Amino acid sequence: MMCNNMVIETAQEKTIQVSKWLATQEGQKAIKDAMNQGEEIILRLKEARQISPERLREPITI
Amino acid sequence: MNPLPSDHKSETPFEIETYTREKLIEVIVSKSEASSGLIEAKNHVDYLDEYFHELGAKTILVENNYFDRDYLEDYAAHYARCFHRYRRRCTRLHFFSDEIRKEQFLALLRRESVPPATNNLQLAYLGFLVVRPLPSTIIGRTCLKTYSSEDRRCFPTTRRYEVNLFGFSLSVESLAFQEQDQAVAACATSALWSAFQKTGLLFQHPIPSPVDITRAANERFPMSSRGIPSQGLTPEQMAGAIRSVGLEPFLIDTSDPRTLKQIVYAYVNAHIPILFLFKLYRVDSSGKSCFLGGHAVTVTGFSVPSDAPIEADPWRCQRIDKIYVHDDQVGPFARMVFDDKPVDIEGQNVSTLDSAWSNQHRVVPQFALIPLYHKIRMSIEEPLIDFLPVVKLLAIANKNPFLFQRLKDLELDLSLTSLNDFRSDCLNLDHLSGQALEQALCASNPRFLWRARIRREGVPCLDCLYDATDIQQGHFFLRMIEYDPEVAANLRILANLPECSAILQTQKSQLVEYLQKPAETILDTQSFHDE
Repeated sequence: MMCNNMVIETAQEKTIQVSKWLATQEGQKAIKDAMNQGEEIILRLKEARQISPERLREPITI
Repeated sequence: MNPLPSDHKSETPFEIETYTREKLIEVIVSKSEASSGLIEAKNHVDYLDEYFHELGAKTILVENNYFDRDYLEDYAAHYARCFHRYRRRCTRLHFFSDEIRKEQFLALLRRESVPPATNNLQLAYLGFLVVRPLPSTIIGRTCLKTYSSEDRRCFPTTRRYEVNLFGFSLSVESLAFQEQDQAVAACATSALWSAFQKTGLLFQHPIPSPVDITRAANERFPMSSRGIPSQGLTPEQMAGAIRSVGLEPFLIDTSDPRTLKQIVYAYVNAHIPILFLFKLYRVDSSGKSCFLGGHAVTVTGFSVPSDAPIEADPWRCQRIDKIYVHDDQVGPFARMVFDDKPVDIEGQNVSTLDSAWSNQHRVVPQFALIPLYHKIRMSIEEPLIDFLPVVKLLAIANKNPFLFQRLKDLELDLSLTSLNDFRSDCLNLDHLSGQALEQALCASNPRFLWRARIRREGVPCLDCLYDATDIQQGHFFLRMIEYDPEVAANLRILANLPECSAILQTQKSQLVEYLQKPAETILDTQSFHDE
């Protein structure tokens, strides 16, 4: 396992590289595309919890 | 109708038959009041025959004069009071994958066989089926081995059933199934009964008989007409039956197959059988659909093929291609396939599932009803919302695989688990060792956890653990287990970049707060909760 100093040094270098990339057009597009990632799952689950009382009384008869 | 089965006093204790479809029907007919024509016409026979062929059944050992507890309770509550003299005793059929002759078994009973022969009985044992002495609904408690996993199927809801066969201890890993008897139980009761077989063991509650389930459901939400003979239950009544055993019902609309897959994956992985309620349609050759009614089955397992993850959707649950259900009109562990075939229903194209009934029968999902222990307070939404920023960071990382090699093509999953299962999992994985393993095994954690897992090629990289017993406003993120430290390190880099702050500020996330802690602090501690 790397020592703490080596981990931080590598992380710093990586942070600079990533920051540079995120400032590019490609990076900005990646951030914009990711904004809504996964939101539809939450929305779907929230809607799935709203069940009308009438549906709860439909008999299961088979 | 067949004449009454022969008086039990004249029956031998057991009979041994070579397994064939015809012999299975013959035995069932002789031990019930059903006619061969009726048995032949049942969905169950074809399904069971295919199932036994898959398991390699070669022998049926017929155990006569068997007292089945569940049938006896239904008998005492209902059949004993009929004018017709229904029998109290059932017949239990045991299935083996070896050829066993009568002389061999007699030698075992007389201790004239050497010990390996008894071990062979267990190795060859495929399970049992109880034949009820009724005119039509003859399949009672049935516990059969599951299909082999073939690296894609899993049946987390099975349990061990101990069987005593004339003194020989056998066991089968299964989940009990039975056909509705149309008197004290319709499909909903049978589905609940199967689910309770597992939850009774998981959450330590008594397992009620079908008649008790139907009574409990009707007591809490009585219908305008009589409850027994049972005409079926409503979702509300099924929820009431779940409460009657001390559990909490969690009902969710699963009309969208993606929600169904997500819920099945999340809860069945925690060994909890799910009640799946749907509308059943028959579709003719011209595509015209006819509504047959509402139906309820017990989801016992699912299949995830071992292909590469879907690029458009990193969630493992969305790769489920089949679920396995106890459908009381078909049989145990019946397949329902997510083939997404659209069917014209009242002028609308509706996405359906393949039913276990036949090619002409299609399923329109309605609800999933999950019986939960009261301590499992947190639903799937809360950990998902907290984990979502990480999903977004991974989406960013995937756009630059050169920079983020360790974050490329990762697969996500979110499921409920127990502390015991989590610890066993850590112990069985090769990727955790030393102090990290010790901490994972010994850390104080609640009994139930939500685990958001990141994997690469099936191998876990990261686990984010959430307290499933906490309240929504609580600090429910517990800790992160880093099987692949580089994945966690890359996520921390992204989480701390000002450029990503817009994404991370849309929703407060305890996991993101943890990732944003300074590296030296993280290296010294494992979680917010360690003292």
